[in-house]
Amino acid sequence: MSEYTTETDVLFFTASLNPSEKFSFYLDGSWTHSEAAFDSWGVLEAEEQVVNQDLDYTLTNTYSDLDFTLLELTYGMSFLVDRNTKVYGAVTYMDLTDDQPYVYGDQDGDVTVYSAGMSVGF
Amino acid sequence: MKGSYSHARTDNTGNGLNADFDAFAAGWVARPNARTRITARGLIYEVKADDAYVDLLPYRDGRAGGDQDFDWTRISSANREVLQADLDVRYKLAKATNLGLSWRHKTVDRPAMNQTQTSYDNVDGVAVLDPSEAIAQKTTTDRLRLTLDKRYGRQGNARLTYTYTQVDLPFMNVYGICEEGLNGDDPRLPSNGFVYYFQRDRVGNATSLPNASHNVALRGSWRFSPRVSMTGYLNFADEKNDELNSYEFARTMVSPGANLWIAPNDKLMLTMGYSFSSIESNAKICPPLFGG
Repeated sequence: MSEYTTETDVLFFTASLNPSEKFSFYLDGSWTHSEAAFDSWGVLEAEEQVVNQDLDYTLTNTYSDLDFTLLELTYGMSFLVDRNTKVYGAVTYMDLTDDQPYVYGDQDGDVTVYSAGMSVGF
Repeated sequence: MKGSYSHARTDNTGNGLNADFDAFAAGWVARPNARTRITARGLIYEVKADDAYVDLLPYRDGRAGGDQDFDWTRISSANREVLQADLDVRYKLAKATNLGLSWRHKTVDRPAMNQTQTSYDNVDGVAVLDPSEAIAQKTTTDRLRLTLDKRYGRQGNARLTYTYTQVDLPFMNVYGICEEGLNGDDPRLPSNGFVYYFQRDRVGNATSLPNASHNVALRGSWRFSPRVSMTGYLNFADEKNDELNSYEFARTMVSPGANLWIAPNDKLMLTMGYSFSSIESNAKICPPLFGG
């Protein structure tokens, strides 16, 4: 029997600014840290004896430890061209840090997403 | 009172397999007095997908130790008959204070669970697939929920919810974990000494779903001024499953959080928050050891 513990912390903030009726700006950010791990399995008891058996699983649980930190930032703006038309754009940056890279290899990485669009009401 | 019936049919033109969906729903609302509202809802639906016959060549066809028949009929895991009944009573205790009591009864019958695990038996000298007994085919859930909510004028509100859920035979991996030691038994497949089969003779049922759970949720928000407000919450769950044959599953969850909203002026709005979640559960570990 083994205990499995998962813990997650999330911090976030959002700021939106409307300096005029036409312009709107926003800034979103979040920081997420997640950890998961088994307790040590220790030395197991065998149902029957096997030649040269090694029942010491004291450190085996650490192979499946997980520890990720994800940072996300988005800055966006929109501009009201007229009553029915709006153009908007945003840039999002995401950075993932893997502090337990054993299971799937080191998954550190970052992504930047640029987006832009226009909406027309009719 | 209202009711509905719907039917849908999906035809897979690639393999000729079809699926039918039929659902009946009905609802009823009553106000026996000015303080009380009673709501009842019922839902019955069935998904029936065609069986698929999986035709495979015999194992080691024509060679020594071969000719085992691995053909089988795949019953779709989408198949199910579901019955759900809800009864809600909401009672106004005092001004801006309400008490709610709700009960949900739900049954899910899945014929595919008949085949969650198979073993090989020796029938007339030939090893044939033998589906396990349907010990977890039908899941029955009863959920009782008590809710107390209160408003504090235009400044704040609070809600406390307690939920008790009891489940008879939640979805599980039947005979999915842990082999027993051979203790001198022959590990080879009946009628075929070429195949060592004991690795699949598992004996333990496993799931991460509880058969009994207690959940408490507390949530409140307060407006300090027209430009500042705060929301906080705390969720707690204590779950267990003592219907498994090899271990007792247990899980505890704690999740608090808080959000703050500030509007320094008419053009700028700020929101910030923090949440934490901790889940502690357990699992049975069975490392198989092989000698030789």
